[in-house]
Order: sequence, then C-alpha cells, then structure tokens
Amino acid sequence: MRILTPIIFLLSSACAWAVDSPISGDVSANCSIYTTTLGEYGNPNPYTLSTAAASGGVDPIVRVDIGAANYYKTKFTYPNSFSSSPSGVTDNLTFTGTVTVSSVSVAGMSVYETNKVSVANTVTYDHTLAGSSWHKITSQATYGSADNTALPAGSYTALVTISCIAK
Amino acid sequence: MALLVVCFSPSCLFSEVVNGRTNNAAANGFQWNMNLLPTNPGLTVSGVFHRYTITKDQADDATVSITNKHINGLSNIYEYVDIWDDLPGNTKVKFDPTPSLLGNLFGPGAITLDGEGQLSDVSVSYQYKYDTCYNPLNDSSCPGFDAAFLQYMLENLNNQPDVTDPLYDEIIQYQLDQQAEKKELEEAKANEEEEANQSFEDKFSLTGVAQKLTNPAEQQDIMRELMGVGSLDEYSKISITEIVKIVDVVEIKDVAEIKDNFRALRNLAQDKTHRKMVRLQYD
Repeated sequence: MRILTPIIFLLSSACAWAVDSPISGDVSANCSIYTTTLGEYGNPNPYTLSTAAASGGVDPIVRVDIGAANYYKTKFTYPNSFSSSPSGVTDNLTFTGTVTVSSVSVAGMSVYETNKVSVANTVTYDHTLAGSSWHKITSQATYGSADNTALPAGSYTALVTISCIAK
Repeated sequence: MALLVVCFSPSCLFSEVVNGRTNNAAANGFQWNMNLLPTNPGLTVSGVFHRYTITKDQADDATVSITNKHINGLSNIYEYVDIWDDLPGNTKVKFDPTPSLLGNLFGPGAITLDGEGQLSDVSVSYQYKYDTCYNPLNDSSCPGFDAAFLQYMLENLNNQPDVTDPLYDEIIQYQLDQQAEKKELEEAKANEEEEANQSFEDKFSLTGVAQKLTNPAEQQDIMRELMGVGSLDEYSKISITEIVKIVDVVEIKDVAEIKDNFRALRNLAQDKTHRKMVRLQYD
C-alpha cells in the first residue's frame, strides 16, 4: 500500500513544464480625424483651380479629436499634384496651399496656430490639450510654365493627407 | 407575437422622450430670454452648444462668459467661462453637457466679454429633452392617464370646469357620460317597475298585434309570450292527484217581487235600433 500511493499520484496529475496564459486588453482611439467639409475646386480663370470661396471653390475642413492631452501630433500635407487629371495635362503645374486652425473647442488650443511647424507642403500641430480642433486647408493650382496655359477640360482631383502621430 | 398584438391594439399606451435643440439664442444680441425653450412640463436642459469668434491681440487679456441666471435671479444656474489671456483670437466651438437641469429654472442668458477684444459670429443654443407623458393628463394615450384623471376629477369635483383648462373637453365628456349613465340606470329602473306593475291581461293582450306581426322578431316574441315560456311552467308541473268535489251551494229563495232590469232592457232596445240603422244601409 505504501508503494502504490505515489504511483497513482504521478499518473493522475496533469503537470506541464510551460503554460501560455493570455492577458487581453483594448486601447480606445484617442486621436480621430474626420472630414467635416468636403473640398471643391473652383475655376476662376482658364489656368487656375482654387478652393477659395471667392474663386467658386470650397475649402475642406477637417476635425481632429484628441482624447488625451500631450500625446499626439497631427501632420497635414496639402496637395502638390493632382491624384487624377485629364490625360492632356503635360505642362508645369504650380501648387500652393495653407493649413490653419479655424475653430477650437478649448480656448487654449488657439496657440496651435502660433506653434505650428511648416515644412514645404506639410504642417504639423502639437496637440497639447484634449478636445477638438478644426483645420481649414486651402489649395490652388496654376497651369503653364510662363504664359499661364489653359487647363485641359476634364475632372481634377487632389488629396490632402492627414495623419496622427504618437509623440 | 403577443407583444405585437398588444401594441397594435387601440389601447396601446406609450410615452415618448423628445430631444431637441433651440434656435440660436444670441441671434438678436448678446442677451436673451429663455422663452425659446418649449413649455412642456418636466423639460430638462442637458447641454449648451456655443460658437463664437473672438478677435484680439495675443498679449491682451480677455474672458468670455456664457451664463444663465437662475429664475429666482439670485445666482447663475448655468455658467461657462473661457479665459483667453495671452492667447490669439480664434473661433470657439463647444458643446457643454450639463447635468439635467429643469428648463423652467433657467432665467435670462447672456454672453459677455471682459477685457480686450471683440466677439462676433455668436451662436448659443440649448439641448433639451422632455417626456410627452411626464404629466399623464397630457394625453389620454399616456400610461396612468385613467388614474391621474380620476384623481384630478376627485380634486375638482365641486368646481365648475374652466374653459381655459386643457382638460376642459375631457371633463365635459366625463360629466356627460356620467349623466348618460345615470339616465340609463333610471330608465332601466323605471322599466323594471313598469313591468312589475303590468297585469296578466296586459302581458297577454293582443292589442296592436296586427302591427307587430309585420315584424318577424316581434312575432317571435309574441309567440314566445303566448306559449307562456317560463311563466306557465309552474302550472304545467302541477299534477292533481286527489279529486276534490265542489258542491254547489247556491240557493235561490222565493222573493216577493222580482223587478225588471230596466237598464239592460234599455241597452237591448238601443242595440235593436242600432241594428236596424245598420241594416237600412243594405236593405
């Protein structure tokens, strides 16, 4: 009886040398980007496309929602080329644009405009406060190298790229 | 399925929570009255939306306040403050959720700027909600309407209904229903008494039967009465087991003089004359 007892124990126990025990968790989005106003080019003269209201266009507006202060930056890149255009566009295109903070949900966010960093066609904002900020983008394209050639007829599309970057 | 049947029935009771937002309170100036909120009982304000543009130099100090006085005028029931000290001007957009505050506690509202700068493009609107059946008396389809209405009637039993009372129509209808019910009860009682006083001959009278015979339903009723359904049952059940002999005990005694019945003779004479007159028409 003394011998039998430990043998039974060894056979019945479910022992193992290594076990993977999962730990799950979710991270909710703390930086969200929404287009609140779709942009549209106006054609004030044969060689220009512009989103300015005075040119018959619409400036796109993008809202950035930040859930936690001081953890995110956003990078806005306004267009320097068309993503689609008629096949006859072969001459030089000159793009200009701006990105500005048009509205804020917290008064302190108004310094975002002062503190923004612009490099080429990219503008970076540091979101030091939680809340929403609205950013207006303008874009203008002029066709022709020297004598402002008329743009070929057709449909033109350009893209604004916005990305949220963890600091 | 049962739920669907219940809810499609005419007596399905429901209440509805209405959410809404007022028009721009600051459309006509930086101060406003709160008559822009609906007057529904139980209405609560669940948030305040505001948008404004402040134009200022960054070095200047400025504070923007959006406030509502308490209806008693002593303090603010709502207050939101933006401090723009050392900040460049911009457009501010914000929805400020509030704990549910009763709308009727909101007094005059205002947006004010203390310091340097200018406000423009100001919009302030109030998010509200209310239950259409907060007061069950609002609508007869509200849950609890019957109990609330009965309670209301009991409390105003001795008062004349006022035409300005929103329940005036219901009260009048209720009174008319009560009167009609009372009248029906009285008529039913009177009919019962009349039937109880009706003689056996009246019940079995055939007067007017000719008219009734034209109506099959009436005819059936008459036949039922003639057959004595129910009323003669007690008689038909009786069986006579013992023969009782009734002895005639009338005895005519001799009297001195039997007088003629002149009234009967006169009637007979009149009958004869009448018959003659009738016959004259044919003979």
